[in-house]
Amino acid sequence: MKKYIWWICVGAVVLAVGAFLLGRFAFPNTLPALPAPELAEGQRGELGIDKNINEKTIDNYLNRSDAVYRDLRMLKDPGDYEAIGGDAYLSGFVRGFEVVPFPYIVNVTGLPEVVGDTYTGETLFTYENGLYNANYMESKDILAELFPKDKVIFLMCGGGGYSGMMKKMLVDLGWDASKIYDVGGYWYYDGENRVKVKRELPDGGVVYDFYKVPYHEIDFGKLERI
Amino acid sequence: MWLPENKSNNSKKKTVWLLLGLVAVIGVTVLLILGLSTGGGVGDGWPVEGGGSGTVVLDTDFDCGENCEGNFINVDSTSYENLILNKQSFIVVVDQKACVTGVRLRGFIDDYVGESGLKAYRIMFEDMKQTSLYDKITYYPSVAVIDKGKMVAWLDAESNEDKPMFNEFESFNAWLNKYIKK
Repeated sequence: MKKYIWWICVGAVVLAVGAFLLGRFAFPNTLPALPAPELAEGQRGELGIDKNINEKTIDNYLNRSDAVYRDLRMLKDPGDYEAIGGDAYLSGFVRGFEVVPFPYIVNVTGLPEVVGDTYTGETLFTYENGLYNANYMESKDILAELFPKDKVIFLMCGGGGYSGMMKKMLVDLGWDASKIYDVGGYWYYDGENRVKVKRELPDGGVVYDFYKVPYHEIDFGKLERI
Repeated sequence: MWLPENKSNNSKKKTVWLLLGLVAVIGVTVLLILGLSTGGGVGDGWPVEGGGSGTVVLDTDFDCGENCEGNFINVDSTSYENLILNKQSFIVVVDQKACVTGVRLRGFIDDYVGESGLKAYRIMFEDMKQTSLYDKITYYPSVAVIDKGKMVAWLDAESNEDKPMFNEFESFNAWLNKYIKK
């Protein structure tokens, strides 16, 4: 009897190891399927924020090899947000997301008068009369590099505004809407992957550890203007 | 057979009573937990959901001090909770730093307070999370109406019913006017 139990245990271990190796090497890149993009209820849906993949659930979808993760905020937004009690610095982000400032992609319109203009410098595109016009010869290539068409694209910003605008722009320019998710806003994120950039000092001062931020710089000085 | 053949009836009865007592304790505990978790109404007749009844008489004689910016008075979580403790009546706007989200609603609020002459408090979303507002308001921008320290109405960014108030000034105006006696 003991001999049989011994062989049963050995067989179970062998099967377990075999199953592990099979899963690890025979199906190395099996990723769980993503729910199709679906708009959230209410005003959040109007912004384009996804119902299923958003600030509350994004932790379940990080680190996918078939996806890119883009945070559309600026490190420092030059708009006079102090006028509405604002701090214009990026104070944190979700690990895995890389910052691509939306105001560098296309001109931002529709801000409240008291804020004034935000970034008004160079942009890859100018949105006018319903059309996105490239300002540089490299604009489309850069956009495709930052937002690969063959990848799932997760977009996030502070409250969902920039990410919604970015998704609209990509779809208008021919990207597949079923592969783009507006995850919403960092301010609503309470998950396990928060990276704090803002640090309060003992004397009450504040510093921003921007070295922590994976950031995509666009050097407009090196581009060929159309 | 695991019981001795001569196990007494008294032992069996004790076991049964013990089990019944244990079930009763567990049942009472579960009922207590359920009872505590389903509370949450305002308690004085005001409905909790956005869209209550009656009118709110706002205290418009705000002491602005150096925190005034136009028609808004910026407050932090401590200042806000003091207003609640002192049973004040007011409008509070929930906003967030450096964000284009909800630009349209900000414009509506600006227009409303500008036209009505009322003042409104404004709290940043980060601070708001430390207050009782966060029980109901989980996204910005939003507007809440407070009557004598109790929240009687607010705009919910996840509610389809509230969508018009975020997008049409007439709807926003009509909604807020329901609660304010000018």
